[in-house]
Amino acid sequence: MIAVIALAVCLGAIVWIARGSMGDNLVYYWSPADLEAQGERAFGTPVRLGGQIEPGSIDWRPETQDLYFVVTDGGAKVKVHSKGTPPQMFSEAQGVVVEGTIDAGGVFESTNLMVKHGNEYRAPAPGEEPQQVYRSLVQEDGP
Amino acid sequence: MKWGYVVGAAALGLPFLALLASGFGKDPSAIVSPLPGHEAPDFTLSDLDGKAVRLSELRGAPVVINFWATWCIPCRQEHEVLARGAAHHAADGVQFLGVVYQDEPESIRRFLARSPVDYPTLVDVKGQTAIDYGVTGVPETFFVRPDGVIDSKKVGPLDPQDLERRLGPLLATGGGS
Amino acid sequence: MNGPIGAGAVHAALACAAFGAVCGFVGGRRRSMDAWRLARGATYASFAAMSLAILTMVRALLTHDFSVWYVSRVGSLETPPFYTVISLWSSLEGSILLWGWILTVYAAALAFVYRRRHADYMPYTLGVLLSVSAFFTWLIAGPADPFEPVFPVPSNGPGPNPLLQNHPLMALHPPMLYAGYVGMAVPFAIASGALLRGRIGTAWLRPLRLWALIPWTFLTVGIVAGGWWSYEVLGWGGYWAWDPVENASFLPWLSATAFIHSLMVQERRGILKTWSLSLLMVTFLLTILGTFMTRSGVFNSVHSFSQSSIGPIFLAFLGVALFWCAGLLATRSELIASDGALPGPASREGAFLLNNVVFLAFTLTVLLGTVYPLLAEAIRGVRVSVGLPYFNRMGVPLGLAVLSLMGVGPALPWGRSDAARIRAQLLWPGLFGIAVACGCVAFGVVQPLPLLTFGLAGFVTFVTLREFWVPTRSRMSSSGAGALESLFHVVSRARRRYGGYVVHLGVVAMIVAITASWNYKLKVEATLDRGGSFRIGDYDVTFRDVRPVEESHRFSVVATLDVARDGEPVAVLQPRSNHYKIMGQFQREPIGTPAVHSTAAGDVYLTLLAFEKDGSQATIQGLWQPLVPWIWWSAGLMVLGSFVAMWPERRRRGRARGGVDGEAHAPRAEPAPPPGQAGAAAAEAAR
Repeated sequence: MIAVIALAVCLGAIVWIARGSMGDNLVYYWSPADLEAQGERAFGTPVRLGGQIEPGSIDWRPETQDLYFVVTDGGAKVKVHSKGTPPQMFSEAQGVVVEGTIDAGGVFESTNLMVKHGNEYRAPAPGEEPQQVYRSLVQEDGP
Repeated sequence: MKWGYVVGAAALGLPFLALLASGFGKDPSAIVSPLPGHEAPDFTLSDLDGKAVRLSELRGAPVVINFWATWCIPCRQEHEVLARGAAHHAADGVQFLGVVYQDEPESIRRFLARSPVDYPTLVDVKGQTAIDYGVTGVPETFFVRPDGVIDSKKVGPLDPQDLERRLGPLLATGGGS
Repeated sequence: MNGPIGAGAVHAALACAAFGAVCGFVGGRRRSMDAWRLARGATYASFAAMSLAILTMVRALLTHDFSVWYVSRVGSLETPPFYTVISLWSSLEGSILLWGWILTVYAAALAFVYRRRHADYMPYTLGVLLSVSAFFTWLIAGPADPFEPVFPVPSNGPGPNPLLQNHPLMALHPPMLYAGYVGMAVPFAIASGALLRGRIGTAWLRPLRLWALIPWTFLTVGIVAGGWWSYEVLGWGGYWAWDPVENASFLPWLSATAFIHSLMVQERRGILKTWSLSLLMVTFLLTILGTFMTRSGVFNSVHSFSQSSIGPIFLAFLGVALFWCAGLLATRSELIASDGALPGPASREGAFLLNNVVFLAFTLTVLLGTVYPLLAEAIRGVRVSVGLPYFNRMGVPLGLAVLSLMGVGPALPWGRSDAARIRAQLLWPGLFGIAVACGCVAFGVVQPLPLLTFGLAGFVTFVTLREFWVPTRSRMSSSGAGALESLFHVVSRARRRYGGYVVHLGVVAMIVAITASWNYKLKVEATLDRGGSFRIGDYDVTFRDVRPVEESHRFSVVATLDVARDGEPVAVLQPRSNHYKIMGQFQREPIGTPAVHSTAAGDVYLTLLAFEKDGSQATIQGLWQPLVPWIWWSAGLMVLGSFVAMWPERRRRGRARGGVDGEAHAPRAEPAPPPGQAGAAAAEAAR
């Protein structure tokens, strides 16, 4: 019986510690509207933000490796900053999921950028068909 | 005989099993859409032959709006599920609508010639309808109740069980035109 | 024809398994040798039928028989034969078919190995195992039928998920993992059988240990191969992300490790019996939970390739198994009453128990982090995921505790001990650990956690090697044999203990490698013109060109880079990005394959992020991953160790160095074995 109680106490303590360290490490799945609704409480909270890249909002600065774009769900809009080269097929009007936190300036700092569901869900842009990419490389390297 | 083990297993195990069961039927990767519970945005779109369909004129019957495209591989896989579902539920008065997104009329015709469907296929030429519905990619499917309110939204391809499950509440609220 | 043959074979296997299960239970209850013989026959028949089913599926895949539903889902004319065969486990139904087949392999092996031994409880064991097998076979016959006919027959299929046809490790990782998962049903069945039988002393502990070590080894290989696959395919440079599916494989590994340790105490001292059995049952339940996590679509994971309707069925099975376990413990509690009390904490037993608590705590933490999103949604209605920092923050101290115990445990004697002796045992290893930490400081390691880890690793390595060295030296001086011969002699006389130590060395190497690769990783990202270069660590990487390569099932864009160290060329690396063909169309989203130059000090790891369409420029991510190859190598050491521990011992032997030997010498209370079994049972007991 003592053993059972000791075990229960041990495991209870672990659950308690785990719960404590989980608190700051929960990533919330929010849409831009959710993020807006949270207001100032959202600052610093890790968030997985899902939405669509607003057409015309992509601003890629290769020299500093800074990428800015706006994620929208039709209503609310969130400005996102991400560091590093965007994925090969990153483009406008596409579903995207970014992980990061929003700072007090209202800019969402992304630590992880995922193109949603891959591009199976997106129409090919002109010249972007894989075969065309392929052909252009062939021509470049052709005999 | 120590019943304590059984009691312990029930006390710890049953809530855990219930917790796991609570996850059924939810798509953990889906992004929450604000649309369900609101009125479906109205649209008037033409099919490939130029015949116009207006959503608000279908009021009174459950409507399934499927956004798709021929270049979308999951849509192709889903196509047959919808075709069969539409045939099966025609008697219940469920109206299916296909809305083609960012696609060419010729490829749509070619595709439908091979795998025909019995419901209208509308072309969203400017993509305005997709934007109104917050479509972030295809396939996405909206289930509209007879009173014109969106009941649920599915991101990604439907399977037959999922289709039936989502049609249930639509039919319960008084289907049949 | 493949469809009907396969479905027929599965139904035959189901019938055999169900019949065999009944025979097993009847044979166990009535002690009927006829029923036991029938149960074994049914097991072999079920194995044969499942083998036919799986071969039929392989044939259907290879001949592109799209009238078979599973082939129409994962097959394609363009996929090369190798990936066509391994697409057997690329989707749910095929995985369950493989799963069911592996279970019949285990059942047949068990029936054959114990055809003349342990006949008192083996019928029950086979009955339990065949019941589990019947459940899986029923899944294959009904709810997850891969042989379902398709009409009209498609002319081609989409091919397996591109991620799964991107690397040959996919041939290793899932089967190993399944062999580990499924195999945990065997010790569970052995324990169930022994408890059902009742009053059988300790004879069942030896098979229990062997059949727990086998799946444990597979599980270890499967988990590490999964990490390796993720490292070689996913291109993010990591090997473990605490993804629900990874956790699902790690959870039973943790509890099984705890079980293997507590079983040693049970064998030797006759204590912790209920505890060991509970751990075993938890392990079995966790394997089913893991299957559920992977296959129900309830958990959000990169691996959830299939959303399926079999979730509720698995949940029901999990519930039945849970109450089976609880009922068994409740009704047989008098069989597993302790033979004695636990000695003080400063003893080998105490260290084992502490090890168990740490492993259980680890299991609980990972489980909590994995199911927390469900909990949050059910209770608070919010959608969250648990971030990596949670797992790291919880996992690091627990990992360090495991590491310390690997050092302290072997240094402690069984039973009571006095403080002076413990001090003497721990003095030199402790000093060595401190020396290692100081050495690391000299090499520029200053962060406290890596220092602590490396110091502890030194401590554990010293303790472990001393366990080899001291008896080897005394053997050398007593027999005059050479060092290697003496070492072989020492190890072969206590294989289980020394096998365990080899595994410990593997774990130490793995923890060191993981610590180094997490803390000292370097990362460079650069857009290079042809001939342009960047430097990472000691290496210079120069971009040569980017070219297309076309194959039947995909085309790839391949960048070629020269890697040089101190001006000397050491490797040409070709990271690529692949577009797979699905339903006749090339997939638009590429799947990258990183390129790796591996050395003992670490890996140079290059990923192609982007390229100019005219081939003039490429954006390359370069990572320096210190000691990562040691992670894979140390898994090899762990496998070697478990082979040493599992290897059947042929010679009889007395008690060598009785006090510290880790072998089982628990008091045995064997009942009179049934006629015809006496010789075998005696030989068994003497081992």
